[in-house]
Amino acid sequence: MTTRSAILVCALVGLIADVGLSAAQGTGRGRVQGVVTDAETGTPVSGAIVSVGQLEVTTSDDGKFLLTGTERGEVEVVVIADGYEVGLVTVNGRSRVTIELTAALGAEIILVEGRAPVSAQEDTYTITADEIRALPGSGNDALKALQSLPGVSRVPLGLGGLVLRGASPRDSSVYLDGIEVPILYHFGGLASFYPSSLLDDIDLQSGSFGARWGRTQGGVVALTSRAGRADRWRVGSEISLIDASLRAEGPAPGHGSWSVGLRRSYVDAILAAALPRGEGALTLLPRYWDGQLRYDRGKLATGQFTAMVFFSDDLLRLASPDLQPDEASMDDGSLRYVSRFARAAVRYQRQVGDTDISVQPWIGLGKVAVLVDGQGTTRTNLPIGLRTEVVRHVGASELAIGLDLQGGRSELAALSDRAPGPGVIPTDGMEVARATTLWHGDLGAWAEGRVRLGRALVTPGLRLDRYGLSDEWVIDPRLGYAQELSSAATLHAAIGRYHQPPLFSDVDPLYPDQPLVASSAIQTSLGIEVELPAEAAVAITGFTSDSDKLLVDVVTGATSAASGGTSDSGGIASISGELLDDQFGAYEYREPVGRGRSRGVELLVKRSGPRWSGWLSYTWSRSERTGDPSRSYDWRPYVLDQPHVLTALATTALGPWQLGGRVRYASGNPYTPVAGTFYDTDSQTYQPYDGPVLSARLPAFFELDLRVDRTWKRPWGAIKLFLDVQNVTNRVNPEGVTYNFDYTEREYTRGLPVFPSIGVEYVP
Amino acid sequence: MRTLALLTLMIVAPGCAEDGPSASTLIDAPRILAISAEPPVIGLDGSAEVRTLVVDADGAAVDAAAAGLSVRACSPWIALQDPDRDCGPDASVALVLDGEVARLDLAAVLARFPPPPDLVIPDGGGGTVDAPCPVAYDHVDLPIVVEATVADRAGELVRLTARKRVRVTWTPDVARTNPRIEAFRIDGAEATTIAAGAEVMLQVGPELTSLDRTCNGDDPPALVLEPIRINLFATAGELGTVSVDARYDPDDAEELETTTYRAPDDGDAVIWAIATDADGGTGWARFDVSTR
Repeated sequence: MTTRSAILVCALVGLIADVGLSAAQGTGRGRVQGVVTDAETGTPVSGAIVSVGQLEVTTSDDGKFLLTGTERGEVEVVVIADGYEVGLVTVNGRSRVTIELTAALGAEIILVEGRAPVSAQEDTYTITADEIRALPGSGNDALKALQSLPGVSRVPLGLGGLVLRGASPRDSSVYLDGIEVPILYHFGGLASFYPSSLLDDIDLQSGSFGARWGRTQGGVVALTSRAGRADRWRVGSEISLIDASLRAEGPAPGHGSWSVGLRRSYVDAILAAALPRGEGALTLLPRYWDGQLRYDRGKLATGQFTAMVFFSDDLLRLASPDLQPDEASMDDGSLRYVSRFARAAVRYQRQVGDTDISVQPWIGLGKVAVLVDGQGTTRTNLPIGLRTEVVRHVGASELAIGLDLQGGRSELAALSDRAPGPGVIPTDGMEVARATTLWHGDLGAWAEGRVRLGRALVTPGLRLDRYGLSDEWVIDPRLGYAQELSSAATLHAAIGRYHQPPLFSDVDPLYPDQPLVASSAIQTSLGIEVELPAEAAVAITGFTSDSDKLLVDVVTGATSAASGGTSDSGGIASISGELLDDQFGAYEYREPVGRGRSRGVELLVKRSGPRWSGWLSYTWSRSERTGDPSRSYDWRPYVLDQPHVLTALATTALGPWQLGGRVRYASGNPYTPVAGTFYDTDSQTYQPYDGPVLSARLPAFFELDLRVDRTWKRPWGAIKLFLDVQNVTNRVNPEGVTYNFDYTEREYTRGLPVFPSIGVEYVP
Repeated sequence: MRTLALLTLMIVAPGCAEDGPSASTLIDAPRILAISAEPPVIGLDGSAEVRTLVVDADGAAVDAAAAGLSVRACSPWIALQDPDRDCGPDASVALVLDGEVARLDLAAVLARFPPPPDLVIPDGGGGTVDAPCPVAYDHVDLPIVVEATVADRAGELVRLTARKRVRVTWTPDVARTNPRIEAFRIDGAEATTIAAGAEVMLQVGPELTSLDRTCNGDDPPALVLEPIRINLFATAGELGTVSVDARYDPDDAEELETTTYRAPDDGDAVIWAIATDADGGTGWARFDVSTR
C-alpha cells in the first residue's frame, strides 16, 4: 500500500457577493463553477476544497462550488477532499465543470489554516441560477428572484419590470451575454423570458456601474447564459402549473457543445377548456413561447467561438365561445396583444498573451402590438448591434477599451385616439392614423482601467456616445474606488455621469417638432462590506441619483388615479404605463423638462453555511420627480416610490428535503386621491378631479412565501419536485384604488391571492 | 396606450367597486341629468340657447331660479379636468340666464379666450359637408359648466356641478339637431301602469325626424340615421341597464331598443330618458309610471 499524502487547506473565504452556494471571489473577470463528485458512484462530494490560484472554496452539501474573479483564459483547478486523491483539471476561466475524484488508499492529513485576502470589488450582487431556483417566492424564475435584493422596489400584482434605486423601468437595461433585450418577462411577470436552467448567473448593478454599459441612467442587469456540457448528451425538462420546458445539451463537432431549449405555456389551453359558456362570458387567454440555441467551440488561447439564437413570443387574446368575429357589436371582444422578439449573435473571444479580445455582432427582430377589432398600435423593429472589447492585463491591473454599437430600423403603425398636444385642441374620440419608419443608431466608445494600488482598486472610466435619434454627442466620466480597510472590511465608492438616449417609442409623427434629447443622471454611492464570523457578511451602501431632462406631460397635467391616471397620478394604470413606456410610449405629449432625484441606503446581511443560508435585505429610499415646470416646481413622489422595502429569506436542507421561506414588506405606492366630482352630461358619467398630486399612499404590502424541494438523486441524474407558494397567508394586499359610479365610495384593488407553483424538474 | 391602460384595468377588473346599473340610474338625491345647446353645433360667429335639466330627490324638475343655477363658458383651448381650477370665475365667461335659458354668444367667449397662435383655421373652413354623406368636420369643444344648489330630502343643500361640451366648428354648412324622445312603451304597448314588482320590457325611442343623417361603414357608404344613446333614470324600481345604444333604420321605424325594468313594489315612479348623439346633441323626456 502506498502512503499518499493529502494536504487539507482550511481557509476562510474573502468577502463574497454571491449568496447561497459556497463561493469565493477574486478580482479577475473569470468564473469557475461546477460540482465535485465521486468518480465511482457519481455522488457529490461535500466539504472538498476547490482552489484556483489564491482563491479557495469548500463545496456545499450537494458538491457544488463557485469561484468568481478568476483570471480569464485557462486556469488550473485543484480539488482536495478527505479520502480522495488530489484532483487536477484545467478549465476555461469562465466555465462550468464536473470534477470527479478517485478514492485514495490511505492519507496523511496536514491542516493549514489561513485567511484569504479580501478583495476590493465593485458593488455588484451576483446570484447563480441554482441559487435562484431554490429561493422561495420566485417560482423557479431567475429574474423574479431579483426583487429579493436590496435596491429593487416591489412591482404590484407581480408584474414585470425593474425599479432599481427608484429609477423608472425604462431607465434600466437588461443584457443577455452583452445583448440588450427589450423585455424581461412574459406578459409582464408570468415568467422570465430566459429559463433559469440555461443561465449561469445574474449580475445586478443597481447603479454606479462602469463604462462598459451605456445608454442607461438607472441600473444594469447582466444575464450570463451557460455553454452546453460537452462530455455527453443530456436531456432535461421541467413541468409546472403554467408551462413546460425541454432542454438538451451535448457535444458538437470540433470539440464543441450544443445547448437547446424550448418552453411553452399552456395556461391558455386550460382557461379555454374551462371557459364558462354563456352570454357575455369573456376570458383573457395568454400564451407564450421561448426558445434558445447555443453552439460553443474552441478555447480562449486559440480562439473561442459562440453562436446563439433566442426568442420570446407572447400572445394574449380576449375570447368568448359565444361571439362571432364579424358580429356588428360595439363589444365583439376581439382584443389581441402581441409581444415578440428574437436575437441572433456570434461571439469570438481569444486570449493573446496578456490581452483578451472579444467581438460580438448580433441582429434581431421585434414586434409589439395591441389591437382591438384589428386596429390599434403596432411597433416593429429590426435591431443590429456590435460589442467589441479588448482587455490588457498589466500585473494586477488592467486596461480595457471597447465599442458598443446599436441601431436598426423601427416602424410604427397606429390608429388610435390622439393625445392633446401643442396646437391640437383637446377633443375626445379623435382617432388619427400615425405611421413612421426610421433608421437610427447609437455609437459608443469606452475605456476603463482597473488599477491596483496596494490595498486599493481604482476604476476610472470614460464613455463617449453618439445618439442617432437626438443627434447628440455625450461624454460620461465614471470613477470607482475600493479600499481594503482590513482583512475583513472593504470600502466602496463611486461617482459617474450616465446619459440615456430617447427611444423610438418617444417619437410621434404627429408632432415632428417634439424635442428629442438625451436625459442624464449623476450617480454616487458609498458603502462598506464587512465579513462576520459564522460565514456571514454585512454590506451597507448609501446612494444618490440626480437626473435631468426627464419626459413629463406638459399638456393635460395630472389626473386622478380614478380616471385611469397619467404618469402624474399614480395608480395601477399609471404604473403599467411606466412598465410599458419603452415598448408602447405614453398617451401624453411629453417634453424633456422634468427632473428626478433618489436617495437611499441599502443594507444586506447574509449568511451561507452548510446547514442554512439566507439573507436580510432592507432598503430605505425616496424617489421623487418634478412635473411640468410651467405648472409647478414642486417635488413629488415617483409613482413607485417605496420608502421601506424589507426582505428576509432563508433556506435549509434536511436530507433530501430543502425548505425555504421569504417574508417581504414594502411601503404602499403613492397615488392621487379624488377631491371631488362633476357630472359629464355628454358621456352621462361622473368625472373625478384631483386632490393634491400623489399625496396619498396605499397601505403597506406584506407577504409570506414558502418553498419545499425534494430531490431524488440517481446515477442517471436527479429528479426535483418543488412546491413554491406565494402569499401563503392569502393576505389581501391593496394594489390600487377603485370607486363606485359617483366616487362617493372607495375600495382597494386586491393584489395576487395565494399562488402555488408546483413543478417537476429532471436534471441529467 | 389608452387601449393598454384599459387592458390593464380589465385584468384587475374584479377589484372594481362598480355597483351595477341600479345604483347609477336611481334618482334618490338632487342631480343634474342633462344639458342641451340649441343648436348643438355652432359656427365661429354663432350662438346657442343652453338649457339644463335639474331634478330633485323625487325626480321632479327644478327650475333655474329655484336651483340657483349658474352657467359659464370655459376656455375651449385647454382640457378641462377640474371645473374650479380650470374654469373658475376668473377663467370663464358667465352666461346670462333668461328664465330657463342661458344664452351662449361665442363671439364673447372668443374675445375672452382668443385662439392660440399655432391654431390654423383654413380659409373657407376645414373638412367638407357633401350630400348625401356628411363627413367629419373640424371643430373644437367648448366646455360649459353648470352649477346648481338643491335641497335633498333632509333639507340639506347639495351643490351640483356638471359639464357639457358644445361643438364649435369653422366648417361651413354644418347643421345638427338635438334628438327628441317620442316613444315610451311597456311590453310593446303605450302604457303607464305596471303591476307592482313586475318585470317588464321598456322601449324608449326617438322622434325619427329629429335624428341627423350620417354615413355607415359600407363601401360605398349609405346614408342612415345617426346612432344615439339613451340613458334612463328612475326614482323607484330597478332598470336593467344604464343605457341603450340605438341605431335606427328609417325602413323599420317600429324597432325600438329595449331594457328591462322591475317596477317598485308600491307607489309611482318617474322615469327620465336622456338621448345624446355623437355631435353633442341632447334631448330628454319624462315618463310617469304607476303601479297597481
